Amino acid sequence: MKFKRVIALLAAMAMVFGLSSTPVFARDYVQSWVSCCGNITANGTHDCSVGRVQMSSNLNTGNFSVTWQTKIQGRGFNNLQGVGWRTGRDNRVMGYNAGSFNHTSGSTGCTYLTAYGWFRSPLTEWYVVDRWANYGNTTGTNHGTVSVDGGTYNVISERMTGANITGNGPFLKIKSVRNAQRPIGQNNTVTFQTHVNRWRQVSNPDFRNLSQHDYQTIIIEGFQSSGNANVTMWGN
Amino acid sequence: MKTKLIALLAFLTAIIILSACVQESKQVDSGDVPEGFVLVKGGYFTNVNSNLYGKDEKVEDFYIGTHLVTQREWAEVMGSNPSEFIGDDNRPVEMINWYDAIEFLNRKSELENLEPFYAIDKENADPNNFGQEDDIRWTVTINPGANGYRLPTEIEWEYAASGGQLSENYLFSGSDDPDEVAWHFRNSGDAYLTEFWYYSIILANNCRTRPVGQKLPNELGLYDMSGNVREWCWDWHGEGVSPAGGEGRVIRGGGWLGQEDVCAVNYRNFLEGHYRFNDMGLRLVRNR
Repeated sequence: MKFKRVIALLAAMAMVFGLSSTPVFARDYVQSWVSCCGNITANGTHDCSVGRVQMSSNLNTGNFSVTWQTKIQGRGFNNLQGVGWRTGRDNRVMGYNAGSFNHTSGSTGCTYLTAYGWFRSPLTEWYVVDRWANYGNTTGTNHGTVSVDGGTYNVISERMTGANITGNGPFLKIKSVRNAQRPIGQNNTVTFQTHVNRWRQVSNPDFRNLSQHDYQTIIIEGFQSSGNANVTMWGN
Repeated sequence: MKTKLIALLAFLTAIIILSACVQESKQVDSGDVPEGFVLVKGGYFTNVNSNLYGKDEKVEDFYIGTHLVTQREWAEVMGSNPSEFIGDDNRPVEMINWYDAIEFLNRKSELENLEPFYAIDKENADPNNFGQEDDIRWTVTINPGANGYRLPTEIEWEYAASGGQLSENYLFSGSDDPDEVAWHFRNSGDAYLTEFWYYSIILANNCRTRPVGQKLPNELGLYDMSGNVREWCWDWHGEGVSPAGGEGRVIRGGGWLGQEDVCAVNYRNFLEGHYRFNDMGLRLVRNR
């Protein structure tokens, strides 16, 4: 415990005095990945008929990397990796640096980097999408924009029915999708408070009382695509 | 000295027997309990984790099924199995909406020469149904004195799930560890998921319902109250206990798809009655 505190203090001092861009590590990571190869594991390589994925993550440093390849289109090969917090917070500022983010399957499949999580009341799945390939038109109701973290995001909501953290049923979905993709290789922040403040002001009154955070993460998802990514994230 | 020792032993024996009798009388009754049911002795909530602990809400005696209704039991009554997770008909029935459940219960009652508990009016939409999506909206009323099968009320469900008068104050139905008593998204698939909830992961991990009764029972001998499939209850969802109308019907207990916190005995939720999902089932109740 003492060692972690010293490390955190040193990292914070380094940032304050501009000696280094070393981020302060997050304290409560969870992480995950999936492929439709019938295998679920946190790290390692999996190769099967429909796809191949190689992943690694380090919860202490906040770094995760993934390389994936879809072999057969239409077989639902899908992978995801991310780190974050078991319980989200309105005022959390999530930091990340995407050292690489490459979608290598052209017009096939989609890939995106997003902050992601859930509110429990009302039951709401949320996204803050920063970078993507073939993300396409997002369905739903457009609520205008929100400006934060050096960019402008479109705010879109949708009513959903299906699988959610409580089981099957109706739930809400809301997204902030950045107009211009964020660059790789630099420290970025996602100031969640600004997004959630804006979401609570959309015309649909259901969003006014967004509360009771579930988890809060930053993830890379590749759906029927091929690519690679390396991300380090931090926060408080 | 010897006499005193004998007297002490006799006294202790009497205490033990008396204690056992008191414990027994809290739950067991000499009446005929239908096969597959337990008698839940009524009273006030004793589980400190219950929503109604310390409240002036008394539950009357009732019988409740020890297991979720299985696919085999459903098919025997209805002639077909609507479930998505097939292959073992001892799995709980799912893909049934609230109205399907009501019809099943009445039909089962009729097959067994019991008086149906529900009166179903399919012609007139229920004015107490404030749901937005429900496209069925039958008006269903009860015959309170009937001896046929019925759904639990929400208060009955929570009372039974939290152990009734035998409660040991568990968070989940029969344990503080959800893995001991409930199938939920982490443990219902091929591998145990330690990561956060994500539907793609759950699909890839082949998460599913499981045959009933494989986890530990709760204090009353009830299985799968906390997991496997969620359970339809009778009540409208709304303010207070048993409101006169509402947006949908109460559902209780967690399922194979949801997070483990949903499996807690005090977690409340509802759905509009027309929804059919692969994590929604039911449990039988009868009046005493």
